[in-house]
Formats: sequence, C-alpha cells, structure tokens
Amino acid sequence: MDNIFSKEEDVISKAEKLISLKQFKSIEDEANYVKLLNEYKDLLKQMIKMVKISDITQLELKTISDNLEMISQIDVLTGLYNRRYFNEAYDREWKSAIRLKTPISLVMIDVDYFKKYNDTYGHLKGDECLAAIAKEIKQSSRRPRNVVSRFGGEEFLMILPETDIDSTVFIAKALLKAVENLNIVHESSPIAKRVTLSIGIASIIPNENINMDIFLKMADDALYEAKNDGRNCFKVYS
Amino acid sequence: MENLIIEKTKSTPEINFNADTGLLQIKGESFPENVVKFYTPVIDWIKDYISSGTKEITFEFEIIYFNSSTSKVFMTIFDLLDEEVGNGKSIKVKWLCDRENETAIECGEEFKEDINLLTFEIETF
Repeated sequence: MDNIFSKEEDVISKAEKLISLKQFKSIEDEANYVKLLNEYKDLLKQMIKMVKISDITQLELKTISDNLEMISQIDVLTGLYNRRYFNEAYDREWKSAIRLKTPISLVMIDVDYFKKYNDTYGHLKGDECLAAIAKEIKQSSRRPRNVVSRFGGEEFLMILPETDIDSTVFIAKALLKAVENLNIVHESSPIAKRVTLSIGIASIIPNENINMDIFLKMADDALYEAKNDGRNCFKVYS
Repeated sequence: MENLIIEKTKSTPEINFNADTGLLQIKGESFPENVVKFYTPVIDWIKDYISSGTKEITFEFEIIYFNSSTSKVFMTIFDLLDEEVGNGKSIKVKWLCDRENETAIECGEEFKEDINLLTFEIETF
C-alpha cells in the first residue's frame, strides 16, 4: 500500500494501458472494461461511505466545539456573558462604533452593600440574589445585540451599541425600578431594607483618538459618583 | 507465526493480534500522521496470517475516534476479510462501542451496510 488511494490509481493505470493498446472492438475488451468499471464502482462506493462517516464524526466535533465555545463565554451562576466575552465584544463594538460613527454606551452596575448581604444571609442566598438581579438586568437590556455581562463578583456591565444617552438613561431607570419591585429583603443595608443598585453610565460617539479603556473608566467613575451620592441611583459621566 | 503487538500512542490504537487464539484486537483512537506507515505492517500481518491456513479469526474493533484515512483503511481490511470469507475462511468482526457513543455505533452501522459475506456484529457495553 503506497497510499490509501492506491487501488483507485491502479484502476486508472489499467484503463490507460487498455486505451494505449488501441484494441476496442473485441469481446475481451468489453469484458475488461466491464470488470474495470465494476471495480471502480466498488471503490467509489467506498469513497462515498468514507465521506459519509467523515460527516458523522465532523458533526459531532462541531457540536462539541460549539458547546465548548458557549461554556467559555458564559458565567455559570447568572447565565450572563463572562468578563472574557465582554472584552471580545467590547473591542468589536468599539471598532464598529468608530467605523460607523454611531453612539455606544456602557452601563456599569453594582449591587449595594452586597458583602453585608452575604454576611447576613450566607453565600447561597447571595448567589440567588445575584441570579435574580442578573435576570432583571438581562430583561432590561431589551435588544439582542446588547451585551450583558457579569464583570466581577457583584458587578455587571452592559454594552449598548448604537444607543445614545437618553435611551441608556431610560434603561437604567427601568432597571432600578425592576430591582425595587423584586423586593429582595436586605435588613443590614443602611440605605433601604431591600437590595438596591448603583449604576454608572457613559455614552459617546467614539473616534480613533479616544482610548476604549478610558471610556470604560468613565463608566466606572460615574458608578463611583453614584455610590458617593447615597447609592440606589444612577449617574451619567459628564 | 509471531503475535503482532503495537502499544497505543496518542494518535494510534493498540494492536494486539494473537496468532494462537485467532483474536485480533484494535483498540483506541486512530488519527495517525501517516496512516499508510502505521497500517501497512498491520495489513501485511493479516494477509500472512490468513494465508498461513488459520481456521477461525475474531477481529475486534474498539475505536473511540478515527479520522477519514483510517476509515478507508478499515474498509480495505473489511473488503479483504469479506473476500477471504468467500474463499471459505471463518472470520467474524466485532465492532465494540460504548452504548452512549452514538457516533461510534452509527459508524459501525455504515461499515456493516457495505459488507456481503463477513459476519459483522455491533456490540455495545
């Protein structure tokens, strides 16, 4: 066996040999050709089967690969995108906003006094609380293109492409209201007896001269301001 | 005749051909860089073994993953065995796979479909 297709090559060379002999009118030639044809039919059948089996295994590998990709992008607790995916998506959307000269907004969200919540009710309850809030954040985002991610412990970050400041403020207000309606009891919170959020917003039409890390810092600064201003509110970077 | 034993590697299966009992086993994963280099001695051994006038052969395939070139080699082996059954030899192939491994079962069924005389059993465990 020189290579896996040596039999196919053998059939071809036999056929070429018959052609070079220039004897096409005898019954033997016919028999030879029928034999060759049948041999080749068998090999072709084998080849078709090989491709079919290949397709079966490739499909399995593709499914596994897709699942792994999904797992690598998702935060297990909340089902939101993880920070790793956020970084990829932010880079993509930032570049797209520069190219198309469209606005892009960031919404940075922090759960107020979450450490106290964990200390009071335990980590299991803490996880439940984060999952419930994550669900509200996801719902508040509305558009499928928006990227909703868990940025760290109790911190969430939304990318809103092609969204200006007014629409972003609307989303932030709705989110504060939604979490108020959740009414998750938080006895040790100094500002309300239920779980609340602080939100920082930054909005921009970017260009090449603006650094995307600085824009992220703007959202972070706005969040810091919201926390300094008594929490349970949103602030826009200005 | 001597047994043929090849240790498995990351990309090639374990070969355990016992000339005394007639039990030939191929076990593991098969995606060799050079499929011809790996399987030529295997096929040569099978041909020699059959021509040595042996009576009964049970050929077990327990393959978790294999590439396209390997599937072609397997079909070459099945054709060879099929032909020998036509010549009066007693040969049986067992395609062994985990009952959870639907892909392996499906691949076994595909191989079986093209076999004429050779006994080809798919066994799950």
